[in-house]
Amino acid sequence: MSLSTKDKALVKTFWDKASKKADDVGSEALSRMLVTYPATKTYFANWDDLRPGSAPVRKHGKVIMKGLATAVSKIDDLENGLSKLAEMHATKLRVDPANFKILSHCILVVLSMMFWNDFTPETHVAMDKFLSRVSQAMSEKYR
Amino acid sequence: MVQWTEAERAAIVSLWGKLSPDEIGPQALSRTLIVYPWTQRYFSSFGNLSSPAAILGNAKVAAHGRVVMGALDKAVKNMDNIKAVYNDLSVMHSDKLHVDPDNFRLLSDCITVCVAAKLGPSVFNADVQEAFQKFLAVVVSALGRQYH
Repeated sequence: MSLSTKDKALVKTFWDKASKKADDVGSEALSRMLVTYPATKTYFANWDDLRPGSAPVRKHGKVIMKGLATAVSKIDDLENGLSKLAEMHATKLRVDPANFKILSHCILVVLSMMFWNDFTPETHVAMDKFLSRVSQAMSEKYR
Repeated sequence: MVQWTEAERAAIVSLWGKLSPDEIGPQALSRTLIVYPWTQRYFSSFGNLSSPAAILGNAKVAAHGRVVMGALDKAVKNMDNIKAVYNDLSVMHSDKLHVDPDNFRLLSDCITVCVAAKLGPSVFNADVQEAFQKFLAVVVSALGRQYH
């Protein structure tokens, strides 16, 4: 599944709006992931507070959203654009790639809550495809 | 058997009471057909599904969205017995409708998106989302149970 010209345009337009609340989106999405999919907490065992909206969660939410901003800016070549991040997740963090799908879902849920008027069905499919492509690019270096 | 905490039960019942099935059902099913277009394979008798606008305006899609919500309502009212209550539905989806069970997951993701947007982040908080997604996972599992 690749992104059409229309998909990319929809993603960029929507991201222009959504990125203004990037910190909140990141924190909410990560919070929800940790609560709804408790197995994901295993990657953050060194944090002292895994509760929704906690300081480490807010901080890491920002990091994730920065990564997504990079992805949007490199939407025409995600594999190269995300290659350093992919390398890090594969070799250093060793996050099971199945988790990219889980986080993507949580991001979509938060975006739909915060930007429903802009999260039209066409934008929804473009964002779902985009996050799916990002997940794929992030999985490139695993083996 | 599924173990529900009191908090989870309360969250699901309370959330369900705030939703209008006539609104969420059609919305979630339309989104599924648009966001995951291969799901349209099961609805060739529904007429025009050729564009998001066509799907959103399709009366058969809307009607079927309401049917799906009716079934979910039954699950909410029988939370300790979903497997048994869904037995015949599972047989039907397997043997008569031949629906790949992965589609149930796709629909439940769209239901979550629509419900979240309807209720907003302070009502649909992380704990409520956890309870609701657990509920949907039980429903999805029950629907796939009789496949062979």
